[in-house]
This record gives sequence, structure tokens and C-alpha cells, in this order.
Amino acid sequence: MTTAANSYRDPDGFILFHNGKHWRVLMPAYRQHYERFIGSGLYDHLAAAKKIVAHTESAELLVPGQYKVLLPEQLPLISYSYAWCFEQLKAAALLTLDIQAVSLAHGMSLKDATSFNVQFQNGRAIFIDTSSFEIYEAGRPWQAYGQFCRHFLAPLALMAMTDAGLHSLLETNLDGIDLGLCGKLLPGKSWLNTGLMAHIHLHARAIAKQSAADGAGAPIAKPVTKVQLLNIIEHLRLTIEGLTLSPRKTTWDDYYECNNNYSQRCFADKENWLVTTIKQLPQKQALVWDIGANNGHFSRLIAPLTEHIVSMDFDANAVNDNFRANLARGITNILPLQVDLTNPFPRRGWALAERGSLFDLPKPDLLVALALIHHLAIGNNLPLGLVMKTFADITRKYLVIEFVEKHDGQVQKLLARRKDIFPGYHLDGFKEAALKHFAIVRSTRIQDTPRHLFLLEKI
Amino acid sequence: MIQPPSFLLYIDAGSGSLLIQFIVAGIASLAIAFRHKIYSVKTWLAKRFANGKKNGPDAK
Repeated sequence: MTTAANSYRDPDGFILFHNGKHWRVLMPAYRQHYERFIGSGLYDHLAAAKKIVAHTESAELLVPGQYKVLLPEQLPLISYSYAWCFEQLKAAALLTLDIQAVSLAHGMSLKDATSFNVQFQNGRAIFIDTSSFEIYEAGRPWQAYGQFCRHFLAPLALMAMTDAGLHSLLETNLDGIDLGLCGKLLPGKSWLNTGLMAHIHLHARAIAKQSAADGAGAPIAKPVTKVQLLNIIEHLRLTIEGLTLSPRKTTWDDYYECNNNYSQRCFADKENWLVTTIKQLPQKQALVWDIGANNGHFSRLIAPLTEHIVSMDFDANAVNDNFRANLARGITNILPLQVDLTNPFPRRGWALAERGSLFDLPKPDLLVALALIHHLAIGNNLPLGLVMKTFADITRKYLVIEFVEKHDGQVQKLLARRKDIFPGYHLDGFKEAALKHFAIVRSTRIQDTPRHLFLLEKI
Repeated sequence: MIQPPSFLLYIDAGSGSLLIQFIVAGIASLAIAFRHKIYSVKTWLAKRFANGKKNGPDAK
């Protein structure tokens, strides 16, 4: 039994690991809040709507000095907001506001509103922190308002109005993006949006003013009625719903439609080979990582053949398209994440133990890397041997990989503006690097293209 | 059971964030009321337009 390395900020409870499961321990200080949470019907309401992870109370791990131990429904993966796309962050924000509004109707309020309280389960945002609810005190402003704006509104506004890549600021600012900084980065026209004017710009000024005055004794906040609080929440909701990711073209967001090297028939060959190969594996793969997944086309193709897929790409628009396409098609076992494999998110927070790195995610049984290796080897000067070693470190068993030869049009594009310093980048060099870690199970050449598909098994 | 050290940065509400809510609530109320007004006018116009079509000289 061990305490989770990132669960100590809240005196009302913490997380334990035991028997491969997460358990939530509630402390006596949280008793009256938990009783109201259950007694008011708030928990039942949220759990029935699948807005919060369901839990059962357990006496198994309870020790003197603790109030209750809960066994929540277990999630297969934990992901962080800095790896989410715009639509994922928006869904998490709207869920948090929805929960706050429902909580107020039940005489409760969220005491914190971090993006870390939300995860994705079955393709949808779900709240995971059962001990975030406190009894609402009439007239009291929302304690988590500032945090909500830093964690959700600021990154969404920056992504929508400045640049889709700016949500990476969440990675280095674990308690959200400073509103003063956000205000400086937003374009002037953001003042014309009443939501951004009020919740970002005026809010940032109030924080700056109060920070200067805090030394002289902080003034008491004016009471805010429940109706006013609900208006704030509604206004935040309208503001966030009104934000959209601008349809700026990147190299990657329509890669499959018009920028790849295939004829339709070759593309179909690749699809067929992939499906046949995965169908032939001895059992259904529990966890797949599809790296360089672009808009998730191949992830969706193999989704029915696997339990869970983490579908990663570094392009913000492509990951956004992936999430939206899954939602539109009702595909629930794909988690799209925005990840730059050449610079993956590291461990972060206190003692580098609060938030895990990409490589702390559960390792996949099958790693899929289609049309990626040339970007790593030629686009990023990574030696083939190092790439294959890293892939072997990631996967628990299988690797499906596409090797793209140097005379392929896409590789030629990469080499067009630079000197070819890659004499070892060829099919034999690839096989030599691969065979140090893997055995070839099956392979094929995609018809009429200099591209080869391999199913490799770790040795 | 030894718990790691704790600091409460994440649940500091911030006095600026608390104080501004009174003002923000006013802006929010106005914005929502304005939005509802626009929505009502839009709905009224749509209804009026639909009725006009139905009852106009070209209606069959």
C-alpha cells in the first residue's frame, strides 16, 4: 500500500495504490461535506449522468484516524491537460462548469477547479476528484474561480485567438496560465469579447491590484449571491462555447487527404494489411500506442480490434480532428494526445514526482508507427539504431512499423532543403537496426511505392 | 504511513479573484440578459418571417 506521489495538497483526502488499484481516503475533516455530497443526491445525480467516476465505499483499507475509504471506478490511463487538444480541454472546462452549477443547486460548490480533476473515459470527459466538493456558504464567492480561469479559460482563449500551440504553457505552469500573461498574449480584439474582457483582462487587473495591496491587509470580498454565481458560471460557459480553434492550415492536418504519397489503391492496401495483421495476433491487444497518428485514421481502423488506443501526434489541429472524428463516430476507446515524440512531456512538479512523463504511461502491447520513421531519422537526425531501441523500450511486445525509403516523395521533400547526411538510411540499415531488438513476424511492400510494412515482435 | 510534504498553492483562492466576482457577476448578468434579448428578437423575427410567408400573397 503506497500513497500516490502527487496526492498531498488536499487535507481532506488522498489517493492510495493497493493491489494495482487506486483508492481514495477521506479524512475526518471532510465528513460533513461528504455526508452532504451523498445525502443531497449530488453524487447520484453526477454518477448517473457519468459526469463523475462512480465509487463504492470500502472498509478494507480503513485505518483509525481516517473517515472513509472509497474504491473508485478504475481508469485505464491518466492524461494531463497539456497533452490534450483544444476540444478535449473545452470538454473538460464545460464539464467543470456544469458540475459547479449542479453542485450549487444541491447546496455545494467545487473548492478547486484544476484540469487535473478531469480525465477521459470512453471518449468523454469525467470528473475524478470526489473530495473536491464542499458545502456552499451563502454569499461566499467561488473559491475556485481564479483557478478555473487559469486552467481552462486562459489556455482555451490563447489557443483560439493567438496560437493553437500555446496550450503547452500548461506544461510549465502546473497551476494554470497566469492571467496577466494571458492578457498580454491575447490580441486587442479579445477586449471586445465580454467574457474575455471580464474573466481574463479585468480579472488580471484585479489580481495585480490586490497583490500590491495584500501586504497592507487584504480587504474582505463583497458577498456574491447564488444567482450571481450562477450568472458567472453561465457567462463562462457561453464564453467557452463561443471559442473555436481557427482552421489554420498546417502540414499535417489534411496530410492523408491531399499531401501523401499514395494512390487510393495503395492506401487501401496499407489499411488491409494493417487490419489483417492485427487480426492475426494471438489475442486482442489491451493497449496500443499509435504514434505519429495524424488525425487518427489508422487508430480508428484498428479500434474495434483493440481494447484501448492512445493516438498521439504533435500537430494540434490533427489531434483536434482526431478527437472530433472519434466523438462523431461514437468511437470510445481512443484517447488522442498531443505529444512531440522528439521532446515528450517529462516528469513535473514537486520533486519531479507530481506529474508523470510520457514514458510513465502504461506501456503498450502494440506500438504502431506508420510513416513516422523518416521524420525521426531524417527530419530530426535520430540514428535508426536509437529509434529502434526507443521503440523496443516502449512496446511490451509488438511493433507495426512502416519504413519509407529515401526515394519516396515525402523523404525527398525532407531532403530538398538540406544535405543528405544519411548514408545509413536504407532498407538494409533499417532491418539491421530492427533485428537487434525485434524479430520480423511478417512484412510487405506497399504496392507501387517505396514503402514497407513490418510486424515486429520483441526478442 | 508517511505522506510527502504538502503546500496549499493549488487551493489559494486569491483575493483579486474573490473581489472581482462581484463586478464580473454584474457584467455576466448584463451579457446574459443582452444575449437572451437578441435570441428573443431573432426568434420573433423568424416567427414573423415564417408567418409572413405562410399568410402572404404568394402562399398556397
